[in-house]
Amino acid sequence: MNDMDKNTAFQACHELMLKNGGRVVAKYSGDFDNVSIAFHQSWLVEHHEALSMITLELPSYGCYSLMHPAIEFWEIERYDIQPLEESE
Amino acid sequence: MSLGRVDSRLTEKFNEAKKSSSDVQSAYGVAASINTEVAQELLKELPAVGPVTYLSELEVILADVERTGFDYLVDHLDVHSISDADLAFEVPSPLDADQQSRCTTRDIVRGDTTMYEGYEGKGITVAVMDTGVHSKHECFGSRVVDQISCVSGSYFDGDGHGHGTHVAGSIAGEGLGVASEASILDLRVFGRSGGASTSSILRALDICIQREVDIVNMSLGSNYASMVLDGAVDTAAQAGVLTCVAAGNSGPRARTINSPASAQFAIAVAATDSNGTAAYFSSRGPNPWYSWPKPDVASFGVDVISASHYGGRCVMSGTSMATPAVAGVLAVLLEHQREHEDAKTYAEALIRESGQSGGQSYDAVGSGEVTLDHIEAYLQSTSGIESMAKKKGRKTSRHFFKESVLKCSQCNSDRIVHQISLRSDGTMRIRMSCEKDRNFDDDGNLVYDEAVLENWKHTRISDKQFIQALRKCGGCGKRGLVPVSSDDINVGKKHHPHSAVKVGCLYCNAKGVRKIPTRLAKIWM
Repeated sequence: MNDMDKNTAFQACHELMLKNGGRVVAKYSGDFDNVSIAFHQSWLVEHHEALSMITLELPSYGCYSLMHPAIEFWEIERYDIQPLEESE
Repeated sequence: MSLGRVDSRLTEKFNEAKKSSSDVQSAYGVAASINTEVAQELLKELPAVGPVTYLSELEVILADVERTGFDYLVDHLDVHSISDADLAFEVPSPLDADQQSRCTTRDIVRGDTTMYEGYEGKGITVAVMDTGVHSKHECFGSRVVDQISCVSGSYFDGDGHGHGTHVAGSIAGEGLGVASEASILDLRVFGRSGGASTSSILRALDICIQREVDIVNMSLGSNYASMVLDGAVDTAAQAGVLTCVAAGNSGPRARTINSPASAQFAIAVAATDSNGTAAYFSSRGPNPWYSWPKPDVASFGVDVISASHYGGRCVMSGTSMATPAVAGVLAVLLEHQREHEDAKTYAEALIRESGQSGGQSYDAVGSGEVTLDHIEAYLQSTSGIESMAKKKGRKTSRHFFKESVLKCSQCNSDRIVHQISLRSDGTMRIRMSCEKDRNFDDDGNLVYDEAVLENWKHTRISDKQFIQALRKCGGCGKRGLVPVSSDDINVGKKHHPHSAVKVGCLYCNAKGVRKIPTRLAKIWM
């Protein structure tokens, strides 16, 4: 799986900022302490420690924090994962 | 039909009553979902016709209301959703005896196995990431060991949908599931709205890793690619959790595999009917998002009888129903190989190798339909794993037994390669022994030297691809040249047919840079 390249990451952060921020899930590398300084504590919704992932609620002015070099990739949180039962 | 906060059918009923004459019914039953904290206040103030019932476990108010009562509920900010309580829900119909004897996962997937007779997944925990499990269903006994809500907010015990109970029944239900003594860890990820969020899935996977769960069943999917979901599944798999993921129900069009089934280390399961034919709805490969092939395997997933959340049994279809069959088989294999130091790698390798495709394409059924009968037949046809080591060039999944001779770098005597294995932790291990200086343990077993090549990201490549990518060494002349590290690979641009790759020889330890076709270099990415 490829990490986001810098241009893509910048563009994505910019687009998120234009949407006034939002809830995102990000994968980080290395120590959590190293990446946590990039975010205000109140933005951190959840830390999925075993997965090295974090859920963040970012204000528009905090979106560029996702450019932190320890962030490998991130996505806006989705809510449409479904059970895969085939309806008749 | 997609339902918003207020059931549109209910709104229509009240609108109709308003327009019509007085002899038309004007009060209707509603079910309103609310927070416990405001329930008492709402019970007092709701202008209802007749008594109002509050179901505290479900956090739902049932009442007959007229237009004023309906408007009160609509305007109340603490009411999450308002549904029509008069709707007749379809209860799964009782099944005839013929169906009951024919279509449980247990009957199809366990078949007539003798090798695994008596192995029912005892001591193995399977996490079911789903809508919840009706733990009091008689088929589970007391084997639902824990129930955890991974959904933000409140949790009610049980399964309000039925999907999770059906799935758990196919894994571990007595008389229904493949591994009827396995334990179930119920991880609820679906809320009342029906959808699950990325965070709830991550929360559940986090628990699986922390609790060192053996197997996780993910009968869920999305209509998009998600690096986060795929990355989380891969992390769990690399941490030692066998992750079975439904391939999706978007078939029969090609390239319809989505996250998280598209994850590299997920065991993506397609669905087949009771004859082993790919179900029309089962999502097809190739993998539209990444270079690795999907689906991986297939199993029984059409008209599957399993546990109902109402009690008794019901029938469901989908790749959701095929996935627990594979999870159940893995539980049986893990119990069978309990003493094996690398039981998970072994079990996963067997699953991926032993399927029978019946001539169907890899894009439809992966390596084929998985049943315990097929695994037994596979092992018999290869005379068992151990004897395979003695046959030059034979292999099991990601294990390559060569028994080739090369020179020992210490004493220059012959050195025998017993096994080359690509492992799920991303390493390639080569087990060797020196012909001259052999070491034995107290029980007389040969002690191997083990060379480890680290940072291999391509552990899911097929045997064919592996052999295809082996190149002839200029030093010793044997076909044993492999890339030494995936990080060192420099794949050429799209239109460049060759790439420069750092390579090493498995036989003579020669190292260098070789140009190999980009098509093959990509295999090692």
